[in-house]
Amino acid sequence: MSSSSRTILGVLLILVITFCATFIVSRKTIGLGGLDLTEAKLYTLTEGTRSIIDKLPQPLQVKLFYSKEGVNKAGTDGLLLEFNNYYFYVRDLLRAYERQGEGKIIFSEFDPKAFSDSEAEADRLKLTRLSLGEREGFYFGIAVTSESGAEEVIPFLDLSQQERIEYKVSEALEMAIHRRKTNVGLLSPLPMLGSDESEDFKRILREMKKPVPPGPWLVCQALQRNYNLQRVPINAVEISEELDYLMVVHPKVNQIKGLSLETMYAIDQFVLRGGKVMVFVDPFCRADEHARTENPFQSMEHRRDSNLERLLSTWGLDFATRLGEDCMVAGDLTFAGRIPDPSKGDQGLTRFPGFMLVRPEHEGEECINQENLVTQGLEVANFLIPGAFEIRADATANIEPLIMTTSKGNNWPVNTFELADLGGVDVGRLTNRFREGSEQLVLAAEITGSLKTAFPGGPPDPELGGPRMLEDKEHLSESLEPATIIVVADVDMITNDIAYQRFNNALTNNNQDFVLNAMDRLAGSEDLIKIRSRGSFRRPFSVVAEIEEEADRKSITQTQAIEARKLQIQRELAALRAQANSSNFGFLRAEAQDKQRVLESESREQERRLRKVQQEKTEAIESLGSQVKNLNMILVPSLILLFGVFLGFFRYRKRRALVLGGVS
Amino acid sequence: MRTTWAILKRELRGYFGTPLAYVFLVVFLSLSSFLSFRAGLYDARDANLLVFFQALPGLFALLAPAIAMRMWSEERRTGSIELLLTLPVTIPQAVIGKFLAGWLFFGIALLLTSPLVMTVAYLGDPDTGPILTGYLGAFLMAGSYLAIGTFFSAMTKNQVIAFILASLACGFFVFAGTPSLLGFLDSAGVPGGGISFFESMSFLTQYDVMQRGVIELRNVFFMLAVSVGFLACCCVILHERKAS
Repeated sequence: MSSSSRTILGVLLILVITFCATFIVSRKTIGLGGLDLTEAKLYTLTEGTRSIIDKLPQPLQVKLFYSKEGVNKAGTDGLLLEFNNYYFYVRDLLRAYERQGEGKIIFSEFDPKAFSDSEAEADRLKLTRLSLGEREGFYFGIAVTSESGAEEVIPFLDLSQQERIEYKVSEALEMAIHRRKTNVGLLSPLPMLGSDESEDFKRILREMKKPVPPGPWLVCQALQRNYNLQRVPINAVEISEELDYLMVVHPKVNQIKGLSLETMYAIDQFVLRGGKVMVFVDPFCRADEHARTENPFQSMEHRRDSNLERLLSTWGLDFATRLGEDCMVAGDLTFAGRIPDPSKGDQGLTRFPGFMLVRPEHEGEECINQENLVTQGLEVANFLIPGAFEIRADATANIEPLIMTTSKGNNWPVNTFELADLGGVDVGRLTNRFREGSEQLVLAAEITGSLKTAFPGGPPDPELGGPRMLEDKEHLSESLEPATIIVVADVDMITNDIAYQRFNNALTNNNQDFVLNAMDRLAGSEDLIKIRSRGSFRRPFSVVAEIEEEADRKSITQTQAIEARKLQIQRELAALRAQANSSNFGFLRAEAQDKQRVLESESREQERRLRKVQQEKTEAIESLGSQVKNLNMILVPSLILLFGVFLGFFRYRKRRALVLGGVS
Repeated sequence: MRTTWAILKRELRGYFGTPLAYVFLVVFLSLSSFLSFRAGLYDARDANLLVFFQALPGLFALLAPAIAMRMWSEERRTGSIELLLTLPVTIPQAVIGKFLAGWLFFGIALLLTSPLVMTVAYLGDPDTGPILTGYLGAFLMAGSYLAIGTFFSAMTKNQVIAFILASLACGFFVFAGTPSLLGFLDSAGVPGGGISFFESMSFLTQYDVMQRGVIELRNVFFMLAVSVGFLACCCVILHERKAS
């Protein structure tokens, strides 16, 4: 064998050994994962997810659909690029699931191009399709399929939901295995599910121009989209085991339409059996219309507070609703919203500490818990005349505050008559007894862990009234399974008036999200509950966001100015119309036309300013972009080039000096 | 070790003694910034360097051969290799010395991209983990490309041929993992194991997770193994040349 042949053989042998070694190492270490150096450990699955995957009884197919080619064709639009980045993250996260599954999770990805089989499959799975062009659709969803054919689909991966992606995927895995319709019981004296009248009867009422009983509350309608919401009688002596969880809203104890001891006992036992509960109590529920409609003469005396004192104290919380005849209301001037104040005229609004628009954070104090999945990502939660929970020193369960006031929040007694007439009384008088506090008040909390019964002596005595307890049930004195309870110190926060915009039912805050998140969390398994938010992988440019915020602030000011000016001129026009009579009609019409012209001209001018603000914003952002691009693409390379030229020139001079020195 | 260090210093001085280093740095910085901004570094408004790191495998496939092409071809063309091999220097020492000089030069080039890091740090609050792992991966990948270039440089006296062959080889290692090629192999009836083998040979696959903040043993092993493997091949070639 010649020397060249030996060399070629040697080279080939080395290369074969190298690549075989890399392939083998690659295969052997596939399940080992890696060192995740991201700040939020974005690629490390949480304990809950690992537990769910480990418990999977059968392999699951996880299919990721993303229109990669479509996005690349559509160009470099900012939003699409964000989706591209999000896609890479989701793909890597699903690979981590695959690694953890060790064969139990089969991950595959599809690019649903126009007219392809993948597109047909995405349509069959009912993934959300957005239009990218004439024919090209944009898909970004996940389908989980079990061996038995059960399919669980996440139709679209929204950018705003990225913190919950692991929760959603793990939930889909669980649902694909244990698929069952979730039953939610609703126990409340309030007509939350609407009246029982049939649609035909309502139609007759409408035709007769009689008032039609209201339909379900909007929050219930939102819940009904995902859950099987069932009414639980207010005097129930047993909570069905068919219910996955229970929502108790405004439990008025021993009053008209209130909860009996038997019902309380039923709730107590439901919780101890591992049932999950969400409770809304209130020192003063404005939505409690009972008194007004049924007995107007006694309406002012009717108590509108609710409590589950016996159960709450056993669970580790105190909740005070009354101080003598006054209501104990939690308030915070920091988050105070404005309510109508007749003492300030027709349009007057005054800040009222009992109407709070709670934000996630204020001056370093966390007010909306960003670690807990129920409240993580919420930007504002509105409360009207809420109470506050106090965590008892002897609490044994784990109690985690979800929503709190700032440390300047405080409880203060307010006259119930004035609260009943809120909007018709001098707000200043209501708030003059409010004093700022020094500790954060808990408005909503999550209780988890093992609990004891509130009825240590056994079921309540049937002699006290109410139906006899069912006898085939064994009395539980402590939890069979860890409980999960979410308590909220306000009922009004889920009413249509507070959670939604009055005219178009649009969401004005995150109150509905809070309830849906809480339900999702209660519905989940213990493993799902353990899955905490993993934080956002997105880190938006704060400098650009500041420019946008500033422009938005200016736009809002301009818009408000336009609206105020319009209102003023409309009022003047209305006044002119009121003054009009046959003698001055012609003169006033001319004046009205002048005012109309002024209004139109001013509106145009304001709108022009509005456009200018938007234009300036775009220019500022583009200008910043140009600066950073030029800095990196031109300035830095130019500096290096200059340095090279300078060094070359310096060396040339040095060499020349040496040569000349040698010659002389 | 001292000999290797001496060769490293001599080579590095050689880079900066000619306009080559500056031209290379200017081209690298301009192109990498251009490609990053074109892919949406600013427009996506997300404080990370993902698009920059994604541009590097392709960019290195052209620039690493440009740096490596003169390493041995030049020595062979001018005949200085004869002199070098008569010195008390072993072939591995010479190969490693030259390779480390080129690798260090790439390190300097990567360091000079720090204004990009400063840019995203000014515009937002980037996660430092993925930036560090992205740079570490880029440095390891540059080493692998450079080793491939060194091997082809030792094969021929002609720098242009060395450059073209090395670029083609580096291009192969980049595109081996592209979905289009893997799809083609699949349709051509290549079994699943063969496709996985191909995919594992791609720098795109190996560098992918490192850009996102995760270091996996197999990725680091791949890059180091490719470097060592091609440098060993270079030594074999030079041994044969020396013997002949």
